[in-house]
Amino acid sequence: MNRRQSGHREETLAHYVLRRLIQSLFVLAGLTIVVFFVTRQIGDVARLMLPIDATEQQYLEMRQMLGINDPLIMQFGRYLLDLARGDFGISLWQNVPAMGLVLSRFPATALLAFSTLIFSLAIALPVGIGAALRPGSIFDRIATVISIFGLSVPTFWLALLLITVFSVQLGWFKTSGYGSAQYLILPMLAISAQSIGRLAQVVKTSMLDVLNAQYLVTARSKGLFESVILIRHGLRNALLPIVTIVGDEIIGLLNGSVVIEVIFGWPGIGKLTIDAIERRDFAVIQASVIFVALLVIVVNLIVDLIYAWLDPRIRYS
Amino acid sequence: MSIAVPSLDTETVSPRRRLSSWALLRHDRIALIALIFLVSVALAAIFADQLVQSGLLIDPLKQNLLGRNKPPMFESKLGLHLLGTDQLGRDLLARLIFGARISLGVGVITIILSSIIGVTLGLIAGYRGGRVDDFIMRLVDIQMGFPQMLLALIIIYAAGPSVTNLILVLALTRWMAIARVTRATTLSLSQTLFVEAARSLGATHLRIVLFHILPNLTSTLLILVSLEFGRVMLSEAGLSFLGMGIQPPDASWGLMLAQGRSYIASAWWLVTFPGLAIALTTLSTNLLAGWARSVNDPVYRKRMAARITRH
Repeated sequence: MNRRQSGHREETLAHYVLRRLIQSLFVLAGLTIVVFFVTRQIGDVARLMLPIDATEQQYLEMRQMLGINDPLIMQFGRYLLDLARGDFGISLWQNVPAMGLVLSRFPATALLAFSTLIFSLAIALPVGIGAALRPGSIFDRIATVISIFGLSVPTFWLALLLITVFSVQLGWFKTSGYGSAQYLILPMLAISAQSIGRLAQVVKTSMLDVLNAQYLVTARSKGLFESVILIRHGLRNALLPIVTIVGDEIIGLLNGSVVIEVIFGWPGIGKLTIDAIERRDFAVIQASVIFVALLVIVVNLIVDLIYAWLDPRIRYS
Repeated sequence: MSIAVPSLDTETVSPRRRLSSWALLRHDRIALIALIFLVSVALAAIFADQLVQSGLLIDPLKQNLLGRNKPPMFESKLGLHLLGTDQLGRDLLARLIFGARISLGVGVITIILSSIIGVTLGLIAGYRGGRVDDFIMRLVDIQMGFPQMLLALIIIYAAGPSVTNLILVLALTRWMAIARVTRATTLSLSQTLFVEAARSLGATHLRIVLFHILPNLTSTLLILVSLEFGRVMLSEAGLSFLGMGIQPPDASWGLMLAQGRSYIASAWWLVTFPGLAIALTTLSTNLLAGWARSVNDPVYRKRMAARITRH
């Protein structure tokens, strides 16, 4: 689990970050190739765009116009040249730059991801820490139940139940759309269950590990206040695994909320991609996958830097 | 904790030896319920045809257009619908049991495949070390960087949604955690004395890996695999829900949920029961994983042993 274990040779932080970035380039290159050739197998966009009684002549003209008549390898070469100029292609259906479309959907996805993260942390941190401080207590058991239920409930089922109860029956929140908090709360609650489950578990175990550590015994024997011990010596060290899992959560939230975005009609990147797949809008599919991959790389980089900041041993090793 | 020493003669025998895992399971009520639930779902799924033939279960394919979307305990000409009927008047319970075949089947096969990939690569990486290790771990890192869900959707859409493709895509996106854990454990095991001893006795690498390292991995892997099983079930349900997994007329729990979604306001049972089936199955595997973890914890084992023998 520990992200440091992957680099088992001793190396400086700068070296490590550089190696991760080079590796990220490989990820991006691999993704670009895979996604380009896989999306071309999805289906024939020209047929989909033309009315059903279009002639063969019209069909061929359409293919020519869309630029999908050339051999795949030529199309790929053209795509790479465009990419080098920062051009991700044009959405076949909406006739606007594909990356612009993806970027315009990013705020919705980000809003959902970060409100979910903050809500989940607000619950998981106190629950996990409380459970670690009093192992075996009722509080500990409640924490276990919450996390195990959170991990087991299918997100989209929870979403449907929430809609039934709070939108259909009680009419408190909107069933789908984007805008005020009335739209945000239900999708946020639905995704939070899983996040809270995972986070609470990690917070609890990493807190437990730290509480049994020798340096806390030392801190106690120096006669420090319990609160100082917990916050300065305990929480800071427990934060390392928590930062890792929070990074993983952000990544999961940024690319895993496809189902929720579809159910709630949330205009984020997941919904955009699903729609693009159904319409065979190649440029948009490629742009959104590459964009999400870039986000993953950036989040991982930030996590690494926070890690080094929290743990000086990593900085000077 | 007061140390409960049951009687003097047991002191010399370690409780670990006296108590089998089964004895511990019998005393953990929640884990036992979880196991019973899983076994009965699996049995019902395996013997579903026999259940229909013996008349205990209504044929899941029989439609009854007069009895569409009827609530639980509804009685039609087909028989008593314990959990109600769906949008075509088919028996929901029967569809759930037949859906279990696919949902559990996909989960089990996927887990077996991803474990084979993950364990093999993890063993090689951890045992050989060096460049091979570097290469395999880079592969893990690179695949971890992929946006999994989006990629899975695109590949399934391109390859055509089918059970085989679903299993392949899920297996190919879920082996990394298993590989990492296997590698880390193998690395520490290959430096132990017993591996050293086997090596100096002239055992081949294959023999060391298969008979000395792999058996010591089983408990760790068992926990991980049961956790992963839950995740695979959820992924399958999610993909089927989006229409990218199981296709009608086959039934999986995720697909049933998707189909019931349009009737959410009028027929709550169509969404509630398939979801409950997924949730309870995942819950059971998670509970069993938690139980397996505590059984492997010597402190817990001793405490339980003391408690059980006291009775």
